[in-house]
Amino acid sequence: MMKKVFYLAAALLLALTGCKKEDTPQQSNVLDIAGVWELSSVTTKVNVAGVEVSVYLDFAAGGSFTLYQQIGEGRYTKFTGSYTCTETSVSGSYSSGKPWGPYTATVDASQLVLTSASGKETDTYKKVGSVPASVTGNLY
Amino acid sequence: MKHQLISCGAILLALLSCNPESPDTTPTPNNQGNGTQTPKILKIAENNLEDAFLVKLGSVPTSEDLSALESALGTCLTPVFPSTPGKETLEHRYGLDRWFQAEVPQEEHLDKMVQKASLLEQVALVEYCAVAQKDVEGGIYEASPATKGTMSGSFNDPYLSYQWHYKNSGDRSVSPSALSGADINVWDVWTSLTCGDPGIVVAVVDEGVKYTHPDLKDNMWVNKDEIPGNGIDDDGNGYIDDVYGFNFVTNGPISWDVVDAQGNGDSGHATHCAGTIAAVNNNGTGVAGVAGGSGNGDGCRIMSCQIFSGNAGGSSSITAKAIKYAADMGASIISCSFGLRVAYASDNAYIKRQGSVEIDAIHYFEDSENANNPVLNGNIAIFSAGNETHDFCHYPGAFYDIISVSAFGPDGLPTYYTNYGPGCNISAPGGEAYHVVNKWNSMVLSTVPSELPQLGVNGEINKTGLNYGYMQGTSMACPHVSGVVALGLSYAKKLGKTFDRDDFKKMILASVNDIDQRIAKTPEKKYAYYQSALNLTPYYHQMGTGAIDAWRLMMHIEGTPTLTAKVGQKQWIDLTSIFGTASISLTYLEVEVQGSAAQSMGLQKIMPTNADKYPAVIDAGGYAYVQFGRLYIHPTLIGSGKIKITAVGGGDHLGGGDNPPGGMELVEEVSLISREADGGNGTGGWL
Repeated sequence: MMKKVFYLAAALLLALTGCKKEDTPQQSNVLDIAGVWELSSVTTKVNVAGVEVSVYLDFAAGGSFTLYQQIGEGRYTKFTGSYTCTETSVSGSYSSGKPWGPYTATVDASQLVLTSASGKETDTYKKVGSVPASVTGNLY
Repeated sequence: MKHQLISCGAILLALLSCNPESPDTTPTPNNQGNGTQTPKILKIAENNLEDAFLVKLGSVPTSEDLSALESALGTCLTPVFPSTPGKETLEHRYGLDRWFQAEVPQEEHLDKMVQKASLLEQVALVEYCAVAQKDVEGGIYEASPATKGTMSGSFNDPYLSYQWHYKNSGDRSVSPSALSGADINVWDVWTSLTCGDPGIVVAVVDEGVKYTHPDLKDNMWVNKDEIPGNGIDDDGNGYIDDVYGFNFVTNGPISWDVVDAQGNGDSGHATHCAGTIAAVNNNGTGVAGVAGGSGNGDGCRIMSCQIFSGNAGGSSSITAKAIKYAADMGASIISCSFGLRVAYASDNAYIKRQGSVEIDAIHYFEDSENANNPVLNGNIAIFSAGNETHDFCHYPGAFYDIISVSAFGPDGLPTYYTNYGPGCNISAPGGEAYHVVNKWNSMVLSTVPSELPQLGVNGEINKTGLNYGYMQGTSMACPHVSGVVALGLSYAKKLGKTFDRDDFKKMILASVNDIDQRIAKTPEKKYAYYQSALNLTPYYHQMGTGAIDAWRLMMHIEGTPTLTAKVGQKQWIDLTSIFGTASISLTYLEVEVQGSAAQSMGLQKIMPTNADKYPAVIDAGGYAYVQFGRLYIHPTLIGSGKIKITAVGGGDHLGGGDNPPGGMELVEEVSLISREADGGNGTGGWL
């Protein structure tokens, strides 16, 4: 994301100084997944092999994320960490240093789809306004 | 409020008495400030012997040197440590051959003698002889008559069901806030791994252990080279009739029931600690001990190194001598449930103001080769952290390379008395009164001398003649860790494994369950007896690495990775730590819940609902399956066990034969522990 901001600033500068058209940088195609996403399906169903799963992903524009997950019964567990995007994938690491991804990703205004590198698992998320208070207020 | 007042007092005391940066020139009761103070003098703020002090010479003296020194001082100098043939080099390395005790003649004054000694060129250090305290809260509390409990274990000891500290079922009659799993997780170790080894000896440095106790006598260490009661030092080690250990206070027989007219004196402390470490298991009598064997003579052994007797003992010279004895006579562990009430702010402050004879002896112990212990290149000292509710550990346990133990109760939370914070390395059950009215069973149950009185449930003092009773303190937490370490050494010996001593100590500190999640969720702890509550906020991340777990230590010794599951819910467990980040894409061939794991953890049958579409391998009993690189289980009980997982590395099928090229078989045995708290090492984030 920082990279994208840099490109935009550079483009603005070049435009103001009257550079030739062909010198204008191409617009970045790096994925923008910033926002809050709620897991809506895993491959085909939210009900993963008999275990109920609820996941909210809050990707911040600065490259950090917060993950809330509830596996089975009980309260939500909160994880934090950082992430980076390329034009086709997203990967990152938890605050503990443990890496995750890369996932092949597609994103539009309402949906984020993450597919594991092996292709065996596809998780689909729908965009929501914020993480519900019923989640943030129900943490371990 | 009590906690806050005590903490403030401790800080004040530390500020007043322990500034390691300042020169030792402040007048104290031991030093009246007559202008002749020298840096050689090590002084303490309180509680030292008045009739003796210690000197460490700059070099090993000849007999002529010693005579000259004695003449100059006007008193005899006695070696603190008798020399042991074959260990002269180690004795010399730690200067044990240069420590002498000087008696203060009746007509002389201690401080004057100390000043005089400090002026002698040959004298490198002068120490006052500090006296330590036992880390027990109160006395012996009466145990109810043994009846068959609600739990059944591997052993037939009738009191085992009351020993929540070994397996805590969350029984509300023990504590309204009892927590399942707030224990040392030892039952599954007994069932499937080890119950002890008679070659592993634990020295209880304490009062005298009642070696005739019916639940201890078969697990007492016996010096076979000494003939009991003949008044002769048969083995020539400098100690007469040291059959089960030695009484370093009186230089006579080991004792455990010396009490004055006011009832002060021996408390049963050592006998209680000894029972926790290795009361004889499965003998149809009394309690179980952590490393007490299976009833077949295979328990670890207890050596009694008596440093307290009646109202006497506990001095640094006696303690140091007892620790050296433990090293020389083959103990692998010293279990030391005592410490100094003086608050020292750092190791340097402790050494500077308290002295170093004990530390010299402890390092000698830890570095001693031990024929009984083929597992380690040394031995391990375990100390209690102290009962002052200080936010730091007391010495000597606080010393940087010594393991010290804080205490939690049956609720899995810090006890009202335990020290915590810097210097506290690990936690264990210490018991805690006041959870239920008119019952003591939230404390720790173990062996006690029947000669001593017990406190009844209504506060009355009874001469019960009972061999078992409850006690509480970090004194009780310490022997739990000693017992677990003894089990660990027994298991490593059984497997033929060897370890570096310091690496083994790290393994001990890493063999823990989480205690902080519980603290974080419980800002205040309430008691049945009191309206005031204990503020637990200061204890967060201050109870050492966590709650000792015997099963985890055995897994570390095996080299088997351990994952943690949360009891009571269906869940998946990330296998990245087992198979790497490729775990999600591996092809799995088999998953097998082994032995008694399903029973121990109460695993419910769990089956994938979409296995036809997404590959899953399922345990033959239906207790677990692997899918998407995750292990799916549903534990309903606190417990432990092993699961074997087989996968293919480097392809989606096994290679060889007529198949197109495939991968190699990967077989990993994984240990699983189910607990109330999520250990954080097994269940990962969704991504």
